[in-house]
Amino acid sequence: MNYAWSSLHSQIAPLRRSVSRALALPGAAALAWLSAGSSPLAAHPLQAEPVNHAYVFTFDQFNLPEDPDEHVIEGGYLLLGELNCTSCHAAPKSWADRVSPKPAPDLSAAGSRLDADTLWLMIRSPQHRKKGTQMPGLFAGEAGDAEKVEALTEYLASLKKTSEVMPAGKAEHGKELYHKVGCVACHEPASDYRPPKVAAGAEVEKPGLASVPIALADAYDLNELAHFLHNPFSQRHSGRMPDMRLSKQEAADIAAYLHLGREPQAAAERAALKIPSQGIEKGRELFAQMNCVACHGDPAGAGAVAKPAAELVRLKTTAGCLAERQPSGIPRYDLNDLQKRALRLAILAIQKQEAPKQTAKEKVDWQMTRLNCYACHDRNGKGGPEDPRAQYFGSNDGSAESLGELAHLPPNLDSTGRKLTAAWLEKLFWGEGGSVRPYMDTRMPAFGRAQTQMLISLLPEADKREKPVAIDVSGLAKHHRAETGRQLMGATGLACVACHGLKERKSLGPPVIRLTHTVERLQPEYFKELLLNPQATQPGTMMPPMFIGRKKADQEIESIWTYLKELEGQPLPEGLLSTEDFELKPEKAGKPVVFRSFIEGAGSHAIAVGFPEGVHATFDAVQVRWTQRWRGRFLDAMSNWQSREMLPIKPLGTDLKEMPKAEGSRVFSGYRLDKGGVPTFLYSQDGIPVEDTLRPLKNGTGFEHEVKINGKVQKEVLSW
Amino acid sequence: MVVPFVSLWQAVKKHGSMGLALLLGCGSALAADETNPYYRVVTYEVPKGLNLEASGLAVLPDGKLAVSIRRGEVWIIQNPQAEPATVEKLGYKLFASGMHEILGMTWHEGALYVTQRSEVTRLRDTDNDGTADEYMTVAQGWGVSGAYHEYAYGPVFDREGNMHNTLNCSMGKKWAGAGEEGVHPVWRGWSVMTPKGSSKASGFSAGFRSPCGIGLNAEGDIFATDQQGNWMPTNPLMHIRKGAYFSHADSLEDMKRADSPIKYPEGKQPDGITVAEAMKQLPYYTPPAVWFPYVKFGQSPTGFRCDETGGKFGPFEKQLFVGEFVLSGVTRVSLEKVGGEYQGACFPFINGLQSAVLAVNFLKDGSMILGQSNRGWNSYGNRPFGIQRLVPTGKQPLEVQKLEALKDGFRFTFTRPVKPANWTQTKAQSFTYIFTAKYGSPEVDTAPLKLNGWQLSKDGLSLTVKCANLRPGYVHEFELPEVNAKDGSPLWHRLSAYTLNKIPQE
Repeated sequence: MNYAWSSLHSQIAPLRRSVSRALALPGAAALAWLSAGSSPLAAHPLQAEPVNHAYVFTFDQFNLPEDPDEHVIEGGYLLLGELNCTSCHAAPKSWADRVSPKPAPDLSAAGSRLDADTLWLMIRSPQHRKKGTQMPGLFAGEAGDAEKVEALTEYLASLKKTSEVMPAGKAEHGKELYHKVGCVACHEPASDYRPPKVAAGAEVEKPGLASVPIALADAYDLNELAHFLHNPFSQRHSGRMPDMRLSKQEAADIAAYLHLGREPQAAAERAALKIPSQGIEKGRELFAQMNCVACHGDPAGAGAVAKPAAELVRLKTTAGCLAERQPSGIPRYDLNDLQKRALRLAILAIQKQEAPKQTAKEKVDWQMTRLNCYACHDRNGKGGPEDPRAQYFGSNDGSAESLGELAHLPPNLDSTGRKLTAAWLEKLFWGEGGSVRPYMDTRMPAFGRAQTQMLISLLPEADKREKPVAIDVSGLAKHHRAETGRQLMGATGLACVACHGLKERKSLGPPVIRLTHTVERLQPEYFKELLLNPQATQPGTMMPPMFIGRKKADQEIESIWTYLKELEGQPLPEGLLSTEDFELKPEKAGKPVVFRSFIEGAGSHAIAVGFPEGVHATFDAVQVRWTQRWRGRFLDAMSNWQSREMLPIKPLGTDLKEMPKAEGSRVFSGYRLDKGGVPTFLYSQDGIPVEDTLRPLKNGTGFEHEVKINGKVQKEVLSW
Repeated sequence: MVVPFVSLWQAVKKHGSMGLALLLGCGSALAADETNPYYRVVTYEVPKGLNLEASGLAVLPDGKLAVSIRRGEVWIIQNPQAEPATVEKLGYKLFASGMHEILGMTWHEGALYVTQRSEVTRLRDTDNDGTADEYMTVAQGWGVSGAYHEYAYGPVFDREGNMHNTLNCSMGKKWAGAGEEGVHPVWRGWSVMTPKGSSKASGFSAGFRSPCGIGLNAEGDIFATDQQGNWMPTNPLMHIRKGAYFSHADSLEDMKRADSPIKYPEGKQPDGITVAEAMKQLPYYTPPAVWFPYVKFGQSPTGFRCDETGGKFGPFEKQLFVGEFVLSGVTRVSLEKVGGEYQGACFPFINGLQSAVLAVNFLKDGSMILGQSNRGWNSYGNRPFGIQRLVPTGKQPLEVQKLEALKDGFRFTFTRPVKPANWTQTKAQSFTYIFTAKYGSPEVDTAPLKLNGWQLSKDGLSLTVKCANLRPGYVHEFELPEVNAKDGSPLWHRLSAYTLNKIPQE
């Protein structure tokens, strides 16, 4: 990457943010790096407003100072896990699951990602280097701290792994992706990016909730950043930074964008301190002694063990990091008052009682809160992106506009547990191709197996209906017919195809979910529940109540299910079918196509011959003669191959010309194909054998008509 | 082809509780993936994009399998016995294309003969490049009006080498574009014969509705199946002979033709008498050799094949195996000659396969091969098309191998010795049908059979029973009690129905 822009940075980290903000101002555009194109591209601001406390998105999203204790206490439980308190302060057994710690970043390749000075800054004072970080500060300027920081820096800088070289990224494309695929649901949008939905001239509304800080992004090694974006779980096992399913190129593009404006930054203070090298070994021992391993794991088998910290039940809620003024010598989290209140409430509750049993619904909600599914999804009235962030969710399909929010925003998850099959949830969380909304720009990210396993097992219980809808999907036992279902779905049936596409075919109207995978994806009971009463089942859906008042609704819904189950090998519903499916194309076949059917202008014993040269003709085996010739498109076999009625087929092309009537009494006896597939028609005329061939002229302007009677050849050129 | 189906539930309603009981009784046989100990079902994998609507199956002398499809193509399957039956192992090769809805195919004197809507075509590969280059018209002369129902089936060749086809009667809209044939298509509802050495087909037997299957028995006599509907009270199996008339009145018009082998009957065909009465009153009426009581023994019989595997397929040598569309299976028929005419019994065999069966044949190893397509009508098996094979497992089923009429009763012959059973628990009744232009008929004039004197032969193979109320012209239907072979295995199917056109004199 080539960085033409010269940094205004001259100071240490805390200033970087405001510098970055300055860059985003219109006046700074002139300073911006010029991309390969001509439009100036400004650096990403990383963080618009400083976050002055250890930031947990869902805590801030769902807790306010005026909230009552019984609400805020839940936020306290959340912080105990998300801030990793319980990594050191073990929770009582009954609470262990509820407040289980969240693994901190894996540092086994920290030295490949960050240079020594950045590591030094981060270790020495995390909240300075990365405002809002969940990493506690461990050094308060005690005697010997400078040496420890140096030792840890040397140790972590020594942890390197070589990784694959990622493709060169395009920052401009990275900027698009960053704002479209869903990054801004949690992270800072750039103020110079206008979501397409914002009216011209209108100001782009800024998010009300702080963004999850990414202040180290531009200090990262570019290649490592691309790696991280491509596979976040390799460094962050917690799944809190989800895998956005970026291709390597896309990851490199976003990395290039976030890296824009980077300049290697020296830790001036570190240089000024002039601490002698402490040796990697000392750093490794410290890493264990200071119990960094409790959160980060043990990247290099540090060996020595730290003294265990006090268990959660023994903690005083007025001391340590919860004290009004935090004493020095203990990890410093920069908690705000609301966070302290929440933690106190939670710790006191844990000290007082066993953990209350959670229902499946509560457990699902808990995990979704921890994973921040609520940044994008609404479930039972909770969550969903705030408007200033929602405006970034777009659609890539103009015909989706009429769907409103449904075309842009990730779906409501109210009844997901009885909607999706376990197999589809697995595909959605762990596999590929689980998304059925290709018209949305955003992607359903992956959060890792460990984080989502419990959702798959608990969702069905959480969302079950008291009275489940009964559907008979046996197909065989009740005379449910795939064909009936196909007809119902078709344009002259219930016209499902007006909105839903199937397989590679788009719907006739807006691009609602394609129904190709319905049977793998949906639980049949939900399918029926939805069709019987769409609004009640999925509030806000645009699905019309097609089955209200239909006497045979049960049977019809079951037939549609049967059709969708048998989709492979079945014709598409009327409306989605097109002549494209059945049109015979000699030019594609590369040789003549012979096709017998009922054909207009050639009767019920017709034989059509289409040539790759684009000239075609029909032979009537009753009159025993060529009846017509034409140019362009040949025939559509749909009526013959698809429908039961088998209506006569019309020649598709142009310049149709009738051919002369036959002479004599003729009896048809068949045809032969030559090596090139050209048929010669055989018949007798008044008892004499005749061979009759039409061959296209080389330039495609007509035919050469050859008739061989009793071995004597007559030729004529038919051009028209 | 087949009739627009009457729904199963209508059928049940029509047949009352016995129909329902039987239906539920054979419920397990309707499961698509039913397994039985006697035959494995092998399903051919089909190449992506190929609509293998298999309408005709011909086994070539080298053991390869030719398959005609409704889209007018012929495919040769190189290794039809391959397992697993993957596309790769089976080896699909396109042999011929461009024909108009092939609904039957046979191998005869070194060539494939396929029946299209308007003709029989002989296909040959004269340059041995693996694809047909000669499409000769070897039988034509029946009318095609453009009405969708004008299907044509066959061909089969009789002992003299003459070719036979069956033709649906015309239903639906005729097309003016078909010229004279659009006004009156000839020989519709007939079987036609094309003499050896000629390509001109003409009427041979008449009165068919939708004779979807035509085939031969071991003796080379020609039979056809037909479909319930008007003039067809239930599905029949007819013995085709020159001049025979099987009741569908649409074919009467062509009896006025000079080349008709049947004289136009005077007067109006009676409507509303019973079949048994029609047999007495109408000298020109030929009853079918077998009636298939509706639903219980299939709902829509199609192509059939005589088992000439020499016992490789099971103890059913020389019996007919009849494809079944709606129930997606196969029904079995045993015939005997009584008073010079064929009559006999039908038995359930297998149902609930993946799709409607159109064609039946046997591969060299004695396994049964079934061509399937349900385009246009519905079937229990809801796959749209395919090929399945029934491969004997080596374990032979205990079945009623044949059911024969005696002058005073019936003889059941089992496939192997059975233990004495509670024979008097047998449910048995006889009934006939209404001879009518209305669509189908219920079973009428039903009476329980007065059975007595059950006698199991010493070897345990044959069981005779006297019947005090045998009625000629009636179907005699039996549901045997629980029967076990001497080795303990149960009777696979307890149901049978004998069409007693004539009571044997001896």
